[in-house]
Amino acid sequence: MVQILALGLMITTVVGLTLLLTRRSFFTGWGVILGLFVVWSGLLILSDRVGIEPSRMISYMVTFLILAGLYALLTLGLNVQWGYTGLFNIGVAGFFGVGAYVSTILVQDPQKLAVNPGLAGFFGHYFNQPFLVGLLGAMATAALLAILVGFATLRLRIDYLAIATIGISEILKIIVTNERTLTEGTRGIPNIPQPLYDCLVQQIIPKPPCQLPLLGWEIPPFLNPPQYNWFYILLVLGLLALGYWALERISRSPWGRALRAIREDEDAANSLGKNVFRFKMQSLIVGAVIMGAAGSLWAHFVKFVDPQIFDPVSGTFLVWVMLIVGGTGNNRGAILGAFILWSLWSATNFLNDVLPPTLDTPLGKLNVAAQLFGPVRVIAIVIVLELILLLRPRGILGEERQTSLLFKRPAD
Amino acid sequence: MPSRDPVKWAIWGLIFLGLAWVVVLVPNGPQYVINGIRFGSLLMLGAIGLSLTYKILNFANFSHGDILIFGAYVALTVDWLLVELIPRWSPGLAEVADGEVMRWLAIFAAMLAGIFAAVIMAYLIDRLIYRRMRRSAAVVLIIASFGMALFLRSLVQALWGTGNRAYAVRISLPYTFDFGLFQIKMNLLQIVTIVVALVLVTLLHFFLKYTKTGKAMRAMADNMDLARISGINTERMIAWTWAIGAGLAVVAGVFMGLNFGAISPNLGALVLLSLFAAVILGGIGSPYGAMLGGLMIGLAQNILVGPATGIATHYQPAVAFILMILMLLFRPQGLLGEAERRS
Repeated sequence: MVQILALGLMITTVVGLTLLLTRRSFFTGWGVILGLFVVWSGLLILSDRVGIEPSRMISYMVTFLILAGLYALLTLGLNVQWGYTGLFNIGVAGFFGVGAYVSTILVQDPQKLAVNPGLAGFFGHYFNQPFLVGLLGAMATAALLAILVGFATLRLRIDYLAIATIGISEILKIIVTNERTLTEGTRGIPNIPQPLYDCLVQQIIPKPPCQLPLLGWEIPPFLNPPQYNWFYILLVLGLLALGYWALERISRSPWGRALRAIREDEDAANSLGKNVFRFKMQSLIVGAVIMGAAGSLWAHFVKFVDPQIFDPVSGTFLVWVMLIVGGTGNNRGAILGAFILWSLWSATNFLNDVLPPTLDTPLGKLNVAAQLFGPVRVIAIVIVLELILLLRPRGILGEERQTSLLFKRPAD
Repeated sequence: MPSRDPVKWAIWGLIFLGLAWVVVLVPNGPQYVINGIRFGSLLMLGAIGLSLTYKILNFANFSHGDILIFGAYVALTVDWLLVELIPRWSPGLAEVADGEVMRWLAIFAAMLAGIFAAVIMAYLIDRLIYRRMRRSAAVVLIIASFGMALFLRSLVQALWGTGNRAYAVRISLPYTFDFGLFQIKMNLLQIVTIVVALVLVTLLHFFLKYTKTGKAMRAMADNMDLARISGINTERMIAWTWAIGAGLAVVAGVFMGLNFGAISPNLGALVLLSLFAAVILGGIGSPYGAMLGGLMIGLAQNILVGPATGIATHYQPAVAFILMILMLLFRPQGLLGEAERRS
């Protein structure tokens, strides 16, 4: 029952978002938001009737929105590289994962790890810095990686970039798995601190309240622990909105037009005096920085990183399918694709609760969760991708004609 | 005009200096070189198919490593099946040399079955997907092949599970070859590995050089349109390309499983990185370049990592990757390739 209601919440969100992103007028937009609230309230009242606590549904929904928002951020980053410039990055997981690890190492408090009895060891290399330092560090490291990859491959055919990015993501996975003194290896790093958690959430042992910088006002902690995710959702969706707005601006600027010119015809752009290598490098870096930021936010939300974050399926492939389904070259398409695919991905998680854990087959015992469910889900997504590539390569929204902001459109 | 190409000669010089350093100064050096040749010959077999598809179909095939592992797993099942069945068919054969002869016969028969399955799979994927995209941009094909790579990996996980699986052949004691100044230890399996790779590469050389099909394939690799004008059936040649590439890849996969002791579904993805490095090092598009590159990567992975330098052996793919990046920076067309630089 919980599953069905949660599915209802997800489906209505995605349908609403689709209408919102493809809206034609101001009133349909607000109409959709109003409609969403009505349906959500209905579902929550229903869940109360059948005896499920609405707070459980809401917290599920908040988690869903945060993770979908982070995937949308990743997809936006890929859209800059692939959608605008035609840069073939199939190592998204590499930039994402390096963001998560760098941010974790910068922000992690050695004290928090030492409390965990299983993790006694050398913790001197965690820096205990504020979240903002971690976020910036993650973005800077991702940019450095992009520069490294870009210098070697951006002057060559596009295949080389693909090989180098997938390579760097595999190598990073090997490094974090084996350098145990730095990353705890496959055990992963738990208890990652969350941004402003101590300031906003009431503690059992009260701490001195935080002060606003410059003004010096004191903010009393006013959230209880489960409510903290409400703050996080604002953070993620705020960054997503900021990223979307900035990318929309630059895609309509001369810079964005130069990128698209390079994508369409490199030699023509070159002959018009555009430094192709430099534009490609900038685009690769911008995309990588967004991916690094998404990695950092991911690590601080789930409070745990391990080498699985470099998984090519959920880290790279899913993001690609999101972008292709939503519409390559269209920022709204990227966000829409991310929400649709993420709701499919997490909705199929419910199947895991329904299916039996093991099956007896003539060939022996079959572990359903590890052996059947995961692979079959990937196969299903691959089939979706190949069908879209064959039948509708431009995706749901597709790219729009974009003109300069200075160029007045004929009156609508 | 080789003399006008200082970068190329500098690279060759570095390679020979490195080999000389290992053989002369590193204790037990010749043993590392032999190990390098052994793994290099496997990479060589895997890289040939990658290079052929790159040149003839004009895209980097990211599903090559997973075709390799798919065939290796089919061979695994057939191998254990045969080891079960042969004693029932002929109890006498199962007794010879404590069953070793039977196990070797089984692995070669299983390898043939694996090759057959992988070739069929590669051909089906081409017919169903790549063929419809032959007129599209190369990037669409790369995305499609990346998708197929994950598809094959998931298929392998669903059918055979995620753990490590070993073949039926047992590891035998090594023979010691004493050359006075140094000693080399190799067991039967390691000798067979090198011999099989050398035989296959020689056969491929004669196939490409002297048969009509081989000449047609080289013609297609040089210039697709000219080949079509002169009456070559390009679709048939493409089918041949997949057959040769997938077949050699499965041989590489089975022998990797034998040499490493086990195979796992993720081996394909890890090996793919070394294969790409090999192809780029040798020069993309030339089968001889792929052979040379495979050998180089194998040597580098066994000399630069491990006891000789003290770096953990997990970093073998990283060595291949760093060499690839260096090659792309200084000589992107590879050792044997011709210039293909853009922008």
